[in-house]
Amino acid sequence: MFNSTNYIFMIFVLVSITGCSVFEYSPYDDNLNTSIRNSNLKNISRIQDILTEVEADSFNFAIISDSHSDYDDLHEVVKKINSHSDIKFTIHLGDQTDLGLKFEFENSLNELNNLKFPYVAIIGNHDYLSQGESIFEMIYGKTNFSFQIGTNNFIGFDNIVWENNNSRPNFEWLKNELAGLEGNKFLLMHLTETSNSMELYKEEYLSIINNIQDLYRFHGHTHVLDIDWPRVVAPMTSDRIIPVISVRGNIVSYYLLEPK
Amino acid sequence: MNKYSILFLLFLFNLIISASDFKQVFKNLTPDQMPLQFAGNQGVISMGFGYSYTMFKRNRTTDLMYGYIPENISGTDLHIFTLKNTIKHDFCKLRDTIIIVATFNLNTICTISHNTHLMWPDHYPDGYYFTNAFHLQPSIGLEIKMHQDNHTNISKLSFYSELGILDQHTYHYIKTGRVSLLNSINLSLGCIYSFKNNATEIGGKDH
Ligand SMILES: [Zn+2]
Repeated sequence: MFNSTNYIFMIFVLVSITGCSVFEYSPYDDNLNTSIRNSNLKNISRIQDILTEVEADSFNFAIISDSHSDYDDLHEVVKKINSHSDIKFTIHLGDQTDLGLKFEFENSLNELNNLKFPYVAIIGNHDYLSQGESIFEMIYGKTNFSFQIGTNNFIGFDNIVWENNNSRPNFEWLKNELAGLEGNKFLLMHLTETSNSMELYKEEYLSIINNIQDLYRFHGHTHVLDIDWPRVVAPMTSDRIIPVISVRGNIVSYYLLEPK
Repeated sequence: MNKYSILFLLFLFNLIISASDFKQVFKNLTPDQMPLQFAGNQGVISMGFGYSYTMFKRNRTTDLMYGYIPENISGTDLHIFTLKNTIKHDFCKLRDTIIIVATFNLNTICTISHNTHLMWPDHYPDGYYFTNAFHLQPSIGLEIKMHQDNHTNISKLSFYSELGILDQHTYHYIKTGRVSLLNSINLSLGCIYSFKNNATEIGGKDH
């Protein structure tokens, strides 16, 4: 009885022997293959090290968003950013997965880890699905966080509503972070205030940021580039347009890296 | 109608369409076999019951299995329901007593856990997300069973291993070419206790 199934048998034995196969209990568990933990905190201190060596008041950073499972586009975008050595770090504004699954985070990490300079990740609504929130916290750390580079203040704000058990974003935390800040303020978040899930909280959010000087806001989620300076909505990674923010003391501007 | 009753109806529907002979499903609801499996994206251990039948001259089985992973292993409690459709092909005989069967499986895996939904909660607009509780996993496997004419218990037991690949990995591979399909293959092991003697099934049980 030698027929086509013999080939399948051979492939089966071959693959089993090469030991490529592993036991998987569920795509929804949090048994990560990567050992990367708390990467935001570690990368922030790397950024601070890099920029104190150069000049903490004069640097460029790139913003990308909504890479989802477009790993090929993310790969190209990473290459593009790497080819510009003046870009000292990158911010991913969320949705680096489709379903918040562990291997989606790992696939994205495989691409993002190729960045020459460090990157910081914000959580998106898709990253919240399944066990995504806790996986994000394992890999990147807290979903609300802030850091300083010289006199520049960066605030990563988790404004996910529906996927976060339909809960109100932690505006108290945001208010606290913004209180009494001097210098440039960069507010990094996934949803825009016009997203449908932010409908209930739009006014509250706008009242918090109202009258704050030197505030620059960066969003993702809509997948479409939208610039109303000092507010930028980054396009999805597959557009391969990369907004780059240039900080020169208290003068902040932007330019776009566009595909050739 | 809660999500569990919808789940049950889905499985029932799948069970009915996967069997060629409707009468057989309803006439003989007594299971033909009990599978027990380790891994395979169906939980650490999953078990259930199944039916064997013939369709297009092929031996087939359909199993409904349940697996569970506690929070300390998976991060959150996972309840996993699997509908396993298998086509079997007698592959070769060893020493006239052992039969090696090639199996081709399509597993529909439904997982109930934190933030996975069959029906999305009311605060989402209709159709905002498709259900994120289902996955398909095709697999190929080998099953070893004893072929003995005397009706001993050992002849009712068979062992199998399967190599499967989850739909999402194939999707990522086709879409981007940036993931390794080989690294996405998972291995599972299991055994099946048949309520009928294996010997009677050789060559297919016709209806
Ligand atoms: Zn989004």
